Amino acid sequence: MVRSWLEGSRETWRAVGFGLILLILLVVVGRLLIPGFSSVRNLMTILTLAVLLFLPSIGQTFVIISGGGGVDLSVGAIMSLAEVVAAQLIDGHNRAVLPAGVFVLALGGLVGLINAVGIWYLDIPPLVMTLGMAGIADGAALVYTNGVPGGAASSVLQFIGTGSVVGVPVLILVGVAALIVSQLILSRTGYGRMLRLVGTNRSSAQAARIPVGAIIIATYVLSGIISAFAGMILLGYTMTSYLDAGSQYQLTSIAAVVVGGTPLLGGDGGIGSTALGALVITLINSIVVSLHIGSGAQELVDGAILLLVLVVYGVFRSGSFSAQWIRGVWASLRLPKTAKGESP
Amino acid sequence: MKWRGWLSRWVPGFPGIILIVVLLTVNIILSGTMISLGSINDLVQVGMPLAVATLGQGLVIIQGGIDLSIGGIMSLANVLIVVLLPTLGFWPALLVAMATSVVAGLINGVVIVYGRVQPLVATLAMSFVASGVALSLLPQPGGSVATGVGVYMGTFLGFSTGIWVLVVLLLLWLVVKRFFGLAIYATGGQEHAAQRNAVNVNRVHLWAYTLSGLIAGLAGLAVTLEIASGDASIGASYVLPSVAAVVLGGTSLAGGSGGLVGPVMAAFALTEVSNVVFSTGVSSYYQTIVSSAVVILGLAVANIVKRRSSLLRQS
Repeated sequence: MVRSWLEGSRETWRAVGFGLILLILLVVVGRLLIPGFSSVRNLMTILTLAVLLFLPSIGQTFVIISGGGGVDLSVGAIMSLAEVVAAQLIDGHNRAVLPAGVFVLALGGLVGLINAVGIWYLDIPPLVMTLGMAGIADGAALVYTNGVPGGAASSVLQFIGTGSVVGVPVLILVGVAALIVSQLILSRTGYGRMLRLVGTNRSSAQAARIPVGAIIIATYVLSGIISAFAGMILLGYTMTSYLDAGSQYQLTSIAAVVVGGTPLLGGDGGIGSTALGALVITLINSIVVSLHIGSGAQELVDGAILLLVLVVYGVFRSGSFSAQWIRGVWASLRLPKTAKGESP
Repeated sequence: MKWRGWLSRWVPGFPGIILIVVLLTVNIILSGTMISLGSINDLVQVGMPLAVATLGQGLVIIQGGIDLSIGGIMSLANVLIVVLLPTLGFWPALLVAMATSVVAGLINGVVIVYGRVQPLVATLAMSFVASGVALSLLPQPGGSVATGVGVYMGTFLGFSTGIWVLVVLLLLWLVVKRFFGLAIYATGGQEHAAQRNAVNVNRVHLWAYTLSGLIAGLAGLAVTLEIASGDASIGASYVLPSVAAVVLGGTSLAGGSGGLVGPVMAAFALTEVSNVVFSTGVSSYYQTIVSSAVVILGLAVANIVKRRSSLLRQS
């Protein structure tokens, strides 16, 4: 019952299992290494940080599911732009939050729309198109602020970003709500079902009279809007605006989707697994940060653990850890004596 | 019709070549000076790191992958040269830096081939590792490099050293293509089909990522000679432009097609964009906007032209 509601292939489910094991493992490791790591307060903090990564990763998931090399490198830049513009427009006034929010979401949607036009009508590869728009959005933020971002979040936004209701941070509630809504969009609406089909096989989706273009355009617009929303939330969390606030999410959002188990090929995957991925990445990050080993070593350990996780996951998920796999590794490690049959 | 074969081989690189010609013309008009060998040498010097990085990126993309660790490896090579220079001297330091770059590339290859990790995320993680090592070795930008800078900045037969290095690298690519081109392009185009036809795709991937590591190290050397000091974050700004340059040079991200001459031209075109924006005297805030817009517009125009010409051929 639950499974049919959540959908997703067997591989996705294996990935979810893997993610859960990893999650428990990471918490245990954190507990052993860092005193007070598994305290409720610390775990709540990690969860809120994970929500900040999860939000842009939602749009990223939709885009990656849409297939065709779909990836959105503009999520981070849209977040930065949204944060900076929203801060300037709101400037501490609660009544400005709603109109500023609408404006900023429209702005994010516009960037997404331009992405989609370039990708769908002009055949520009998504990686490059969204990268270009990221440059434009970053530049726009620079021009808009003249290099000196100003403004501040209002008290409502601050409450969303840092406040808590009966001990539970509001951000976590926002994350849970976003998880439910986006999972519903993916599994319960016609759009979501068509998105999967488009991602699995574009030409057969077209043959089945699915409006492929409209689906793809809607997906990039949605990703833009979600990223802008994430930027607003980020503003609430940081309270003042920074120019590059969102740039760290540009690539980590993709990592979150992949660690969650959504293949970059498209057609498969879910929002729940992305949430797991975001949690895993944030956990790794915060364990490494709490070790106080200097920023260079921190980045190094971060990358190495990510690499390790990806390898273990890559080998086990595809079920490729077998005698044959070991033989394959062994065969290619030998000196190329058997190169006779190879074509140059 | 020999010229037609020649044309079809070079046309993929056309967007990059056309773009650089257009941009050079624009620059001439804007700056009011004629184009000279000196200005081309200057452009090559400034654009060298990106051009070399694009070579590695292009190789990896042609065989069906992507390498986001190029920037991290560039930083690492830069930092290793600067940090080891006082104790080891220039050449040993360079040797260590190149060896490290090769190892980083090899790890990429192993992780992607045997770890079954998607190239995008595997090389992303590797870029964290490499720039992390670089940052621990050199937390603050600093140090200085004197050896080799003179040679790099100098000229040989009127052309800057960079041009000669690029020519050598591109000739090497032609040799590689002559002997392994079929395997490389087949792997990038249809991996399964290539495998069925006795191409050792794993070996192609391993070699491509290892070579890309080495080339990234060379790009790190180029950037070191240009700034003559060390900076652990210097490479980051070259990663995504190198991907953009490859696509702009007419090599498909899907792999299995295209070449490396176009991407290198496109890399210089991207450098020239910044020069043009700079010489117009517009605020540097517009720099990223304009160069991003040029990439998008360049690709859009190229695709529209391609579509038109294929329609013409059909009719």
